[in-house]
Amino acid sequence: MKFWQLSTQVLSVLLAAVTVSAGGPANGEATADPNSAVVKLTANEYKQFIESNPYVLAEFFAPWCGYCKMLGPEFSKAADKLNESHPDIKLAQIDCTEEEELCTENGIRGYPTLKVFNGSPEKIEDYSGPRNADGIVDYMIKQSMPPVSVPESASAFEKALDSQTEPFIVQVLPAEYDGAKDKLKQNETFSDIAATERKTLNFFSISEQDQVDVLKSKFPNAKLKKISAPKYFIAHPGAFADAAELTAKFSKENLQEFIKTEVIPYFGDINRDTYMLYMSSPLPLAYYFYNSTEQRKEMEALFNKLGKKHRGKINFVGLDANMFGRHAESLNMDPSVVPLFVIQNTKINKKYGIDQKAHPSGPSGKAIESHVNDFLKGKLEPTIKSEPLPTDEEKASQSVLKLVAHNHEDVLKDTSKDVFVKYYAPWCGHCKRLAPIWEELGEIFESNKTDASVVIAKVDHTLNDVTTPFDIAGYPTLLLYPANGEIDEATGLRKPVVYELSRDLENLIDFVKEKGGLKVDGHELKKKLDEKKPSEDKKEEAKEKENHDEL
Amino acid sequence: MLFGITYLLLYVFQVVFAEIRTENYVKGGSAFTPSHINHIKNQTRQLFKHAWSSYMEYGFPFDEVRPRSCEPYGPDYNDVFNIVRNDAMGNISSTLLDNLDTLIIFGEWEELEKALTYLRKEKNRIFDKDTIVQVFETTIRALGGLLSSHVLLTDLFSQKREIPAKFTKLKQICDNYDGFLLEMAHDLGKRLVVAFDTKSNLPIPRVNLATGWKKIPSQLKKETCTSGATSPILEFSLLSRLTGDPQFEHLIQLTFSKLWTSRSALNLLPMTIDPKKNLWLDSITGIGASVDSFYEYAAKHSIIFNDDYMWNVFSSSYKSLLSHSAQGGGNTDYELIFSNINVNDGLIATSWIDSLGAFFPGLQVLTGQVKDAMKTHATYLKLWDYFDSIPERWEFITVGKVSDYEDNQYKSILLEWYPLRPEFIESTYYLYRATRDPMYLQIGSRILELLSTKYKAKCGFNGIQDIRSGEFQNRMETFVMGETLKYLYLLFDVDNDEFLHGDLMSEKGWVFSTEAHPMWFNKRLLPDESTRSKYSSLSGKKKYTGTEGTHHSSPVTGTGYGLPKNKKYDNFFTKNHFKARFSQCETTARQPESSGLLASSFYKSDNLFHFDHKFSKHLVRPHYLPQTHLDGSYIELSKPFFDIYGLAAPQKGHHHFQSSRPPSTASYDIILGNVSEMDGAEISELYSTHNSHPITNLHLNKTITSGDLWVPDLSSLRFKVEKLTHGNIDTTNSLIDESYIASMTQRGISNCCRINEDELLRILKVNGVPLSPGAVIWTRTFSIQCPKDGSSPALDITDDGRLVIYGTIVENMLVLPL
Repeated sequence: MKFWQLSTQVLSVLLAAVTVSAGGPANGEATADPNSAVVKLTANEYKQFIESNPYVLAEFFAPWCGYCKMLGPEFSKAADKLNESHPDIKLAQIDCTEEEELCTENGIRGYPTLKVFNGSPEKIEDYSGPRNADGIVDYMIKQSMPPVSVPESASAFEKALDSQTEPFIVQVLPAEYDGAKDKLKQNETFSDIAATERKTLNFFSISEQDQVDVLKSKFPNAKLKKISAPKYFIAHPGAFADAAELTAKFSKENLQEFIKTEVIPYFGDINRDTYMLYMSSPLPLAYYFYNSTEQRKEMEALFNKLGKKHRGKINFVGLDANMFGRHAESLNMDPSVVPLFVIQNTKINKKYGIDQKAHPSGPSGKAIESHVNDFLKGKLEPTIKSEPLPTDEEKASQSVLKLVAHNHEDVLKDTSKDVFVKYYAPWCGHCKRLAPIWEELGEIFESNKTDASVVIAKVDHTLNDVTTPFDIAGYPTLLLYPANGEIDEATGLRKPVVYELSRDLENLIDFVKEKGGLKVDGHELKKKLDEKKPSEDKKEEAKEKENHDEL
Repeated sequence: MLFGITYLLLYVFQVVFAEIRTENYVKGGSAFTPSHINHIKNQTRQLFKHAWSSYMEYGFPFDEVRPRSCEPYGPDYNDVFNIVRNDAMGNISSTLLDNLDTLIIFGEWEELEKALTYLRKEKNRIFDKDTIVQVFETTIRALGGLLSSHVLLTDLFSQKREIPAKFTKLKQICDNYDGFLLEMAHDLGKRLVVAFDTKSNLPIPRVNLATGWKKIPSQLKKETCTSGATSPILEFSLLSRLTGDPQFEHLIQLTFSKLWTSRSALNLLPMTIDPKKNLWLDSITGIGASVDSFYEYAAKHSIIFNDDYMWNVFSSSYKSLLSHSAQGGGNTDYELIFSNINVNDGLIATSWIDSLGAFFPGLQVLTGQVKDAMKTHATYLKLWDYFDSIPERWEFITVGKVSDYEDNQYKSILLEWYPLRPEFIESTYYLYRATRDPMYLQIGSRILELLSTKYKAKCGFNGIQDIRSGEFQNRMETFVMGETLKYLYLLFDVDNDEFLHGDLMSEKGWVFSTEAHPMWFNKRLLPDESTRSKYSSLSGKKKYTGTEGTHHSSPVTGTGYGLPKNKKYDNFFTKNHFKARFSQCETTARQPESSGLLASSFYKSDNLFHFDHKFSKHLVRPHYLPQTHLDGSYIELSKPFFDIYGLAAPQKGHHHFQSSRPPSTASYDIILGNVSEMDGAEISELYSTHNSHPITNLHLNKTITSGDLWVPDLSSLRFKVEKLTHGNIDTTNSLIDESYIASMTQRGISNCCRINEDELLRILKVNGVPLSPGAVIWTRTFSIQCPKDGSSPALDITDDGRLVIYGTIVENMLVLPL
């Protein structure tokens, strides 16, 4: 491996050719520190600068842009580091508020836009690496090297393997291989892929026997005895024993597929660096939320095993709940019970979690294993976002039936009753205004009694994912499912009648009478209730009095 | 008498609160995991304890405690004209009265009991003070505090529900409560209501608690603001309903109706009234100081008392504000600023907005206008990012030369103080409840950090006297505990552990008053006969029979035209935009992220920093603050937060976080016809019953698609347009080139044959309703009379059906053929 090197003399000449603006400290500013090695480019020197430097990372930015402010200090740091180690790699900035034309010519539509130039304004590639100093440095160093590294010696190869921090692929091209033409072609394909894929993994190619021996010693499980055709291995740092070999017939597509699958570790962690890797995979993603490194360690072996076993079917990741714990919510899990395990089928966006109530201190390895097996067999019910089911006591004490995602369908499937449901959000003023009226409506129909023919119900739509035959497009939405009503095919529920009048008690009662299947007259019920009430209150008072007397 | 010295000796509370350890603060922590939330919630509680114990030790029984000097603070008896100080001071232990319900919310039962014991003792004396108070401030702080606490203690546990163990003590307090706070409220109400005893039915702004109208210099009786005259509607109505004494509600209803009837043709109320002369004193309105709680209480009154009239007051006002006052708020705009306008023509009247307007997003959420709320709030968020506070008055329109702003970096800070006002955190609370976007927690966490450090004083919390220099105030107004800390605490109640967010309250239909007192009313709270007669005998004033019948019919909402009768349109329907908008709340149920990771919606938009660009001359960090934006002070750029909640938020088509180019097109308003009839103008959404879109246009191949608007009548409209000219970036981040303009100007031939070939107009909003990029406004055809002198008529149609305004083609407005 050989890095480019330019003398510092050349560097100083280049610097002299561009304007370096003086200014104060630039902590948190989009514009790079003027004392850093970042080169400020204007239209005048732009072309010459790009042409006289083999590798330029150019940032097109605007000083007011917050993302540019975040990048600014990192960009300066990266420039300084590269200036020390790889002075042929230049980092430059173009302020698009000053160089409008130049930015338009380059098709810049947003800030920051980062582009990599290879010695000519025409040789451009979008920069797709990280935005921190170390990430920029690594990315640019890679960019400056040949896509495939061909180690000079066995010891150089060994050293390289030991220093890997990312997954890598090794092509073994046997020297004694007679299909020379194929060999050449395969090597070409390998290089082509390397040119685009080297952002995700490193590429090595070896052919000398002593290098193969090094590989043999490093990859204890790899079959490297009699090599009659080129071989390909992908390995992750620290997990050489699990190095995977390309078993499919060699083709560009198969090799790409092999990379896509194997570049994902059996059990990795999700963070800013790995996020895209997992998201671009179509496979279901299994999350293990942990609170401490001990918890993670405890499960590591299991997950490595499962990851290996279910390679190509599920990806397994760890998630540090101290950082990302709140994300449990969007997986329909309770963030306060960690460790937790949940599999997300990203294609249909369904989640399958291990019941947290049954495993308050986290699922056991055994539970996880059987959960994974059941998932693969399609035996699991998805975990839905739902409030807990109301207890019988709760139900009896409230005049409005509380529906949650778990019982919404069950209640609505009883077609013998008129069910009038309020889909609401607690923060919404219209819903607040309706709340006491809705409660009164429930009292009138005595809907908490098991023999009630009209059920007045409510669903907090912000906490429960429910399927409805009518789209809930605003709060509150009032749907009356009439008894013995026509069934909506898509949902299997009755076709509801939508309430759209002013939401006062009179109108609501009329609506139930007119549109309900049972034509129950709430006005009559209300009259009875009003008559009954005062006397009942008196009775209770009398009772209380009695009690007091007893005392 | 200087202060009530006797009281000081009479009763001193023991202060037992522990010292707060500020080093507990996890700087920059942004995970908001259950344990983290618990931690910051607890920290907020500690801040409250610090403020409360400071008041009890050094301020009580006076109105306030001075946080820097640890002295009591009350009215300025030497200078009655010192209204900044005196208006909210009555020598009535204001901090205590304003925070009874705060004690309940923070679960400080022991302190609550002590406070109740004290008040019970003082109830007949406490308001008998020879001090001049402002009716509005005293109503919302003291009267509201008493009413809210009364309702809480009376009705909190009234339904048969299981009572969680942590409320055993509170239940006991409730059981022992005999309603004496309502007696106090009635006493105070009687002292305040005399302000409404005028020929005009318009209240004077101040009364003397002991002597009513007497002993008030005439200068202090002259001007009443609209908020002050209308806001007591919530507290006064509740007081009447709870006691059965109708005078309060009766009088405020008269005032309210009278003012609403005298609204401008645009359905707007100015800010200042002369109650004696029965006159409006100005013709300006907005959403900030002097008129803010008028809108708020119209909406809240309609919620608590199920009142359609009041809802119409709110919705007509809001509609008018959208049409005239709203700057920005279009589909591609980051911000929405409600500027002050002239009530008669709707034109901008001032160059600034004020700090109090930051409450508006909370009201927008409550009334269901969530998207608007996010954009309105976003404006104030930027101010907080730059100033660690919100200037009392901030200029957003460049007045004078740009160089003036370079010479004076603080030129845009027109009023320089920030007394720890709650409005911004209040709105943040509402928005978090509605959207659950973690950014709102990050905002809370930053405010908590500032309260724990910079704004914390030895005896409470001190705001800023001068944002330009960083000088502190030596004052802690009652709302610091009663609102700022209360909203912050409730913001952090992510998992609904507090009773306000739980089952106990879910059916009560409660809302916060403008001073953050929870209020509601139901039939259980109706007075029985004995209560009714007790209070009516106490009333001692004119007898009012009731308040029914003061409401007039609701404002007209136009009947509208249907689509032209034509088979082609059989599948299309129109839906009145405003009718839908004001009858339901927008849904905000979080769409589950396909990534499985939460993401802040802030990072999904590509215009997050357009505000910084647009107002760069008006947003300069004061010199004494750190100049970096990366230390957490600029909230959206807080690194720990970004790393967690920015992770899964790639913008459309990008993986990386990028800001789009801000538009360079000029934009302005075009008013067609008579603005005063805008309320009746039909703006409807078009929708189809089928998913297929039949082709309906002439030569243009344009089809009606959902998102399009139907605006049949081209009179009484206010358009926000952008002018598309060659070389400019438009609001959708596209570079406009000549060929695009030519593609429209060269094809269309207008009736009067004078087409401006260099530019197009694009409508961004019509009567405040934003148009999505690509959407079209359809209108009815109309007859054109070409001016004889060959000039362009105001309105014209090209032969391919496009609208032309003064010779310029409108890109997105078409005539629907018959």
